[in-house]
Amino acid sequence: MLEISGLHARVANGAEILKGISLTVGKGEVHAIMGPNGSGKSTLAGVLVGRDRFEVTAGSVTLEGADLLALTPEERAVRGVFLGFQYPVEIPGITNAYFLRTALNSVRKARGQTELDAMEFLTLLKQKARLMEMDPSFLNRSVNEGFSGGEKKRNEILQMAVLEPRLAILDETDSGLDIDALKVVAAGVNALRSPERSVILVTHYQRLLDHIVPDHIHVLAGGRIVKSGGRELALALEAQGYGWIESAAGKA
Amino acid sequence: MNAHAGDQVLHHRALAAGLYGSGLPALQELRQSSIAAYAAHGLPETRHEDWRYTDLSVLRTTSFQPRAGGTLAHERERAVLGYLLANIGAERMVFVNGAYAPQVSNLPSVPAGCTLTTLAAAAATHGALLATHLGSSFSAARHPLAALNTALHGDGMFLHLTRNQALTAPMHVACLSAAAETPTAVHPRLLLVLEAGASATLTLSFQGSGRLHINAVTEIVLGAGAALDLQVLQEDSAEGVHTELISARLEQSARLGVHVAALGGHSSRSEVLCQLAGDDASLSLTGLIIGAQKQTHDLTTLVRHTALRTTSQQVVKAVLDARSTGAYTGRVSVATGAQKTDAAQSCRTLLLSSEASMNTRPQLEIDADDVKCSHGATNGQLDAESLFYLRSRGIPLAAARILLTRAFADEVIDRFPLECVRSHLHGRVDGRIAPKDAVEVTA
Ligand SMILES: Nc1ncnc2c1ncn2[C@@H]1O[C@H](COP(=O)(O)OP(=O)(O)OP(=O)(O)O)[C@@H](O)[C@H]1O
Ligand SMILES: [Mg+2]
Repeated sequence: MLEISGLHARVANGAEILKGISLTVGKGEVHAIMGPNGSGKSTLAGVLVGRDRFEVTAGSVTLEGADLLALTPEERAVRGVFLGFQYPVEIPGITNAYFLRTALNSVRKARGQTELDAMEFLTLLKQKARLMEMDPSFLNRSVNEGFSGGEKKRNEILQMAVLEPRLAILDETDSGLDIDALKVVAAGVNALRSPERSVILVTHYQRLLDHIVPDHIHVLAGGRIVKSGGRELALALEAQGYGWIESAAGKA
Repeated sequence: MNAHAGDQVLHHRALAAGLYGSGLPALQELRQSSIAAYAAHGLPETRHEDWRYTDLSVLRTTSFQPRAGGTLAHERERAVLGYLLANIGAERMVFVNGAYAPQVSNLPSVPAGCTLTTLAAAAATHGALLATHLGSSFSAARHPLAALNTALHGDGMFLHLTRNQALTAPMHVACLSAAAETPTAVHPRLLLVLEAGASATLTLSFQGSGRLHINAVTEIVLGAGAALDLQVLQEDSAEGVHTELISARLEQSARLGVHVAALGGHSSRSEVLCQLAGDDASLSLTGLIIGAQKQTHDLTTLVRHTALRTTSQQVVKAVLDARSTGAYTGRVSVATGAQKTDAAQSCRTLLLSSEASMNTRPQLEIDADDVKCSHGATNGQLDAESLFYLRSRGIPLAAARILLTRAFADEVIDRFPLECVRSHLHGRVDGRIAPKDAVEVTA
C-alpha cells in the first residue's frame, strides 16, 4: 500500500524535521506511530497529504506503486488518502453537509463514478452520522465552527466514514476525547478496517490501542523511527516513557 | 468661464431643450440651473477628498454623448433582457439607452390614486410632485454628475404611492444600454415618492455593453412609516464608467433598505445619501463589491442622523481579484440633539490577488452625546489552512477557492431581500473568480 523510503523533509527553507524515515504499510494493516512532542509525527502526516509548507529534500513515497509526492492534495484524496487533522479547521459559511457532499462528489467525479444527488447523499450522511452518534444538527452547522474539541475530532471521523479512504492517517484523533467518544471513534475506525484499507494512527496514548489494535507500533523521535515493535511496545512506553529508547538510539 | 466651458453649456442647453418637461417651467429652470452647476463645478477630481478613489479620467479625455433611440438592436441586449425577465420577476419597466421601452415592459396595476409611469408622462399629470422633489434631495454643487443627470435625463421612472398603499409584487426596473459607434452617455433617473405607511420592493438593474457612461440618479422620499427595499444590480459595461447617486429622505419611523451589488464598469462609483429626518427612522445598507481585472469600485455613503433614535446599519463586503481596487467611504454625521442614534458600519474585504487593493474610510462626525456608533474593517486573503483542508478532502483548488469566496460573500448576499437576486449574485460571485489551478495562495 504505502512505501516510505529515506524520507527527509524540512519546513520550507527552514530546519530539517524528518531525517530519514522508512516505513512500509501493507494492505489491511494498522500502524501506530508514537513519539515525544515535536518529534515530527504531524510533519510526516503533513508530507503524506501534501502540505505545501513542508519541503521534501530526499527520499520517496509511493502509494500502490505511484509516486505520491508528485500529486496535489486533492489528487491524493482521489487516490484514497485521508488525514484526520490534529487541529481541524473551522470554516464559517459552509455547512458540514454541503462541504462533505462537495468533497465526496469531487472524488467520485475524478474517479469516473456517478455523483450522488442531494437525497442520496443525505441518506448516506445521516446513516454515517448515526454510526458516529452525532446529532444531525451538526450537519447543518458551519464546518467545525464553534464545535468543541471532541466534536471536531468526531467530525473528522464522520468525514472519514463518508469518504471511505484506502489509507487513513489519524493524527491524534483520540486527544481531547472523553471515554465514550473514544469508543465511538474507535468503532468508526474499526468499521472501516478491511483487507483493502490501511490505517496510520498517530497517538500519545496506549488507551486508544486497546480499542484499535495495531499490527505494528513505531516510535518517532528526532525525525527518525527509533524503534518498531508489536503491541507490547506501547505498554512499555506507557510504563517507562520515551527516555530509554531515545538514549538507546542516541548511543547506537 | 473659458471658451470650452461656454461651448459645453450651449451644447447642454441644446440637448436639454429637446427633452421632456418643456411644459413645466419648474423643470426647465431646474435643468438650466443644473447645467450651470455642472459648468461651475465640472467633473470631480481625484484631488477632491470625496472623489479620491473614483477614476473618472476617461470622462475628461473622451466625449460621451447621449444616444437617441430605444430599440434592442443587439443580440447581446436581447439575451440579457431575456435572462433578466426570466429571473427577476415579471413586473418590470425597461429602459433602453435611457428611453422607455413599452413593448418589453410590463407595468403592474397600482392601487387607485397611485401612479407608476415614466417621468415624461408624470410631467404632464404630476407636475407639482416633480417640481417639489426632482433634484431636491442633494446639492447640485456637491454632486455635479447628479446635476448633469438632472440637466440631461431624457426619461425615467416615477412611482408615487399614496398613504398606506403598497406595490403588491416586487418591481424590476431594468436599464439596458449599448454604446453606439461613438462613446455614449445615458442618464437613468428614478423618482420614488412613498407617502405615509406606503411600501414597495424594487430591483434596479444596470446592464450595458461598449463604451458607456451610465450616470444614474435615484431620489427617494419616504413619508412617516413608509418602507422601501431597493436592490441595485450594477452590471454595466466592463469598458464603461458607472456613476450613480441614490439620495433619500426618511420621515418618522420610515424604513429604507438599500442593497447595492457593484460588479460592472471599468470604473464605478455608487454613492448613497440618506437623511434620517424623522424620529425612529432607519436605514439598512448592504454593499457587495466584486472587482476583477483592473476595475475600480467606489462605494460612498453619507448618512445624516438628524432626529431621535434613528438607526443605520451598513454591512459592506468586497471581493477583489487581479488588479482591481475597491473603496468604501462611510460617513456618518449625527446632528446636535439627535440622541439615541445607533449607527454601525462594517467593511470586510477578501483580496484574491496580491495586486488587488482596498481603501476603507469610516468618517464619523458626532455632535450629540448619547449615541452608539461603531465601525470595523478587515482585509484578508483566502485562508491557506481552510483551502488546504478542503483540498485534502478531494475538492480541487479552483472549486475550493470558489467555495470559500462564496462563503465570504454569502453574509452580504443573504441581506438582499429577493431570492431571485440572491441566486443571481451567487452565480456572479462564482463566475467572477478566475480559476488559478497553478497558483497557490498563501495567507
Ligand atoms: N511551520 C513550521 N515552522 C517551524 N517549525 C516547525 C513548523 N512546523 C513544524 N515545526 C517544528 O517541527 C517539529 C516537529 O513538529 P510536529 O508537529 O511534526 O511534531 P509532532 O510530533 O506532531 O508533535 P506533537 O506530539 O506535539 O503533536 C517541531 O519542533 C515543530 O516546532
Ligand atoms: Mg502532532
